[in-house]
Amino acid sequence: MGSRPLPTTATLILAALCDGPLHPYAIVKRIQHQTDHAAPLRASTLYRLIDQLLDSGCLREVDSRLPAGQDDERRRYFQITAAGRRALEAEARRLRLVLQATEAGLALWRSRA
Amino acid sequence: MTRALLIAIARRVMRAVLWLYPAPFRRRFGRDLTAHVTGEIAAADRRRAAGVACAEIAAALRDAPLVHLAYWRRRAAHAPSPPPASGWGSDLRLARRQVTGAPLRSALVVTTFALAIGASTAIFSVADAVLLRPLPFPASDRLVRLYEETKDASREGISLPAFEVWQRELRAVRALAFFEPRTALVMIDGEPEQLSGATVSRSFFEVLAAAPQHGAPFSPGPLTRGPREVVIAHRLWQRLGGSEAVVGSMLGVDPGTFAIVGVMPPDFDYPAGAQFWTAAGDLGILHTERSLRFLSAIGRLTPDADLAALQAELAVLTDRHPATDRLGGDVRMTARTLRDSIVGSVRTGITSALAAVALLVIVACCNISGLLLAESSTRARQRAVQAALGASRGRIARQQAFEVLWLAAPGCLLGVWAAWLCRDAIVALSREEIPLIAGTALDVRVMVFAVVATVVTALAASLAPSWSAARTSTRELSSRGSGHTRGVFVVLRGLVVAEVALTFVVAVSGVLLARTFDRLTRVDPGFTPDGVVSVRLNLPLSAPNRGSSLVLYDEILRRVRSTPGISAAGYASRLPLSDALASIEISAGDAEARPPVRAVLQAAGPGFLPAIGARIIRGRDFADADRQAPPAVIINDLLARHLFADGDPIGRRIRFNYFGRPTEGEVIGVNQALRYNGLTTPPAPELYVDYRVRPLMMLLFARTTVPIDAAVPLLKSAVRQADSSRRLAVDQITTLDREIARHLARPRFFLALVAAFAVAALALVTAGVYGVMASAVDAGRRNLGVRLALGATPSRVCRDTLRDGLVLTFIGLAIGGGLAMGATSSLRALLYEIAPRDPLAFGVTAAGLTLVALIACWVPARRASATDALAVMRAEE
Repeated sequence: MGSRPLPTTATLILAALCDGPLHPYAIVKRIQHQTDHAAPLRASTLYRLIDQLLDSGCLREVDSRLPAGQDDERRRYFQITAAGRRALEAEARRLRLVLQATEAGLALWRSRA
Repeated sequence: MTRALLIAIARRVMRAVLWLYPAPFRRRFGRDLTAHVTGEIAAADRRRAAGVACAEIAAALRDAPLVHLAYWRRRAAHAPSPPPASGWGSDLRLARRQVTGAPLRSALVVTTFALAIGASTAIFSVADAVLLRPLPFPASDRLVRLYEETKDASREGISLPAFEVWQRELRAVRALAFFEPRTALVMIDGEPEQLSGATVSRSFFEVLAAAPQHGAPFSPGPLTRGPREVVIAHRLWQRLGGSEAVVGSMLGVDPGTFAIVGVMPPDFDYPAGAQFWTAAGDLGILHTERSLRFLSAIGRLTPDADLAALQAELAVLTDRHPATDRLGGDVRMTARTLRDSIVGSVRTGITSALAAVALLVIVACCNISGLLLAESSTRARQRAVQAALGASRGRIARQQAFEVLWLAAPGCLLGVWAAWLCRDAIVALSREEIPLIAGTALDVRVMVFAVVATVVTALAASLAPSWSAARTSTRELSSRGSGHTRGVFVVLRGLVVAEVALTFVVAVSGVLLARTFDRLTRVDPGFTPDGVVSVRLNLPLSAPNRGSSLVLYDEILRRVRSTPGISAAGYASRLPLSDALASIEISAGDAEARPPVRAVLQAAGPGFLPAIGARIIRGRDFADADRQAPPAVIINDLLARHLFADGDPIGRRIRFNYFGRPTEGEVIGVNQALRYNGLTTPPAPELYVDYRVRPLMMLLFARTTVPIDAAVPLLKSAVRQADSSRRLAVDQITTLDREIARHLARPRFFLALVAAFAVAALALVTAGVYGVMASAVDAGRRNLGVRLALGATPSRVCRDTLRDGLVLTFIGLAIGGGLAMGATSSLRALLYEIAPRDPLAFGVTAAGLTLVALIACWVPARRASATDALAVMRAEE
């Protein structure tokens, strides 16, 4: 199971949650901040991926709330699970290999040029 | 367009788009998703708000099929029920889920498979090794043993004249040989050691068609001349060094020295336990005396003759060469196969075990059928729905078959493993008791047969209802509810009745054997075995004269008696219980009117009877002073009553033949009878002659007050001290407790075997009754609901369910009782003082089975009475 690559957006969602539980709106904000608004994350995509990550056990819904007053009662919070962390690490290894291969290829290209 | 209007429109559109999503997703995230989209629009720049709204809606449209795809994949991965994708893989997975979904039922079925396959394979393999497999001789089915049968049916011995007649005149046998099992002192590394062996005729190995592994069999030659030759067993050969050089060397076998001419292969073991075979030389008086029947004869049938032909020839020879035994009865020449002569005594036990295991397998098949049929029948509705949705009959059957295979595969594996365990346990338990059993190899044919039989039964039981279900219309089913069809109901009840009946037969056999064993352990052997050790003192036949032997024996006894830890000691020539037959003829010396009677002869000395705890009723024991003629004798109460009726036997004279010489003895005491011929043969008349009249190889009996392990070295050192010239070999150290245990071992083995099957059958019948009753309660839930709704009390419902189960049990018991009446008479040979139709055994078994059935019905009955009428009615709508 773990060998299948995560969709990039799902990886970003998991990475965004490593700091603690967040609600979906906060996830979007954090991803946009981290990726410097490189690609917009649409609501339907976000919920589709959250649903998938919940089903595969990488996420779980939690009751954890921010301190009173900073929080909207209707918002749902999600937390990364141990399985999620493992999937994320596997994905990081995979991406690192991809990155290395990519840069090695580009370096060869440059040296030829 | 104002921001508020844009948001309102986007919300409407999103709500519409959400209907394109799977319902669970919509319920879970619909509101949040819409709120999220409106939030994004609200947060966007004024100029970009419309673009964001469009992009979000477009993304939602794009994502809908992706979510559908994810949900569809998820359903496929853990779909709880049919119909989905066709194909063997999905059917196999579905079947596995059905199996793991009902762990208790599956465990029961798997265990039943294992039990049936394991037990039947092990027992059939044992029976094959003991009763069927050829003996380890070429063409062993043509080997026979010949007997001269006398009136007392002790048909072991033949006389040499009879043998010579057979050699001359029999046409049905190609070759004949005689042998005489004996024990002798064999010199191994300069130490004498008592070994079993046989004196055999030169044709012995030729008849058995057995060739030595090294060297050659005896050189052919006239019976009366030639070198003294010995063939040794592989075991002895290895103790002598195990090299080729052993052949040709000399071996001291009391009373002479023999040249080793051959070494037999390791698997040659006839007569059982023999380690050497010496070629018979001149047998002296045996050549002419037909009344001396010490030899055993074996022969090999010619290719065109059979046992019946041989019997017919022997009948003719019986008439042509008449002889009488000492009682005046006719001696009849007869024969049986060599296998019969070896295993005849255990045939009944093994066949009983076979019958018991066959019944157990049938019970197991009934059990598997019942469990699967009940389960399969309750799922008839599910299958009808599948059929209505388009599943073919073959498809439904395939799913059922896969389910059976999921149960059968682990069951068979466990069964094979159980067969190994059973075989090892059986062989370990009975190696000493059952001839040929050590050669038991698991029989693959039987295993395959057991596997096929159980699996086919299971398939049939599982598929039968689905066959009919596929024909049943859905409407019929829904009107019938989830109950069993009438046919299934009848079959299930029939299976319960059959299980109970067959289990009764096995269980009652077990109880009969247990009662027999109980009786055997309570038999009074006439002595008190606790703490009595016996050692054999082997005086070489070639050794000393009478006087010096007596001095040696006296010295040993004196030292043993003064050894601490030994409270009493004495000599006798044979062990009690040692299968001695009444063989010597006794008559009263002064009252000729009484006919002579046969008695067990025992040479004994002072202290023997007290040492083993035998009781002297009248008169006294031998004393050190009784050395003069006439020899003092002690007789037992049976012999006294026979010879002297109620008169006082003390001081009376009796006449008997002692070592071929007419002897008259004076009765000095009367003892209470002991058992000499095993535990089950009633005591016979006994005659104890003072051993000092003619000292022979004696057994020393000592009653110890210390543990046996500590006493044996004390005894040995006492003998060593007395026997300074090292003429004696001390061997066959045993205890009377061990002798009794030895005689109990075979009954114990067959009891253990049949009892194990009985317990297994009881466990199966418990599971079977429970399974069928539980499924009947589940299936009849609607009726129960109606009854309860109409005012039946729960306790009434509980009682009725119990009664239902008990009626089946009683029918089963009645049938089983009838079967057992017929079957147990075949156990007669294994029973002792217990009638095959022992009412107590039948009663106890019936009561036990009823109790078991009651317990098995109790849980379903409780569940029936706890039925919630309203819930049932609602569920059925």
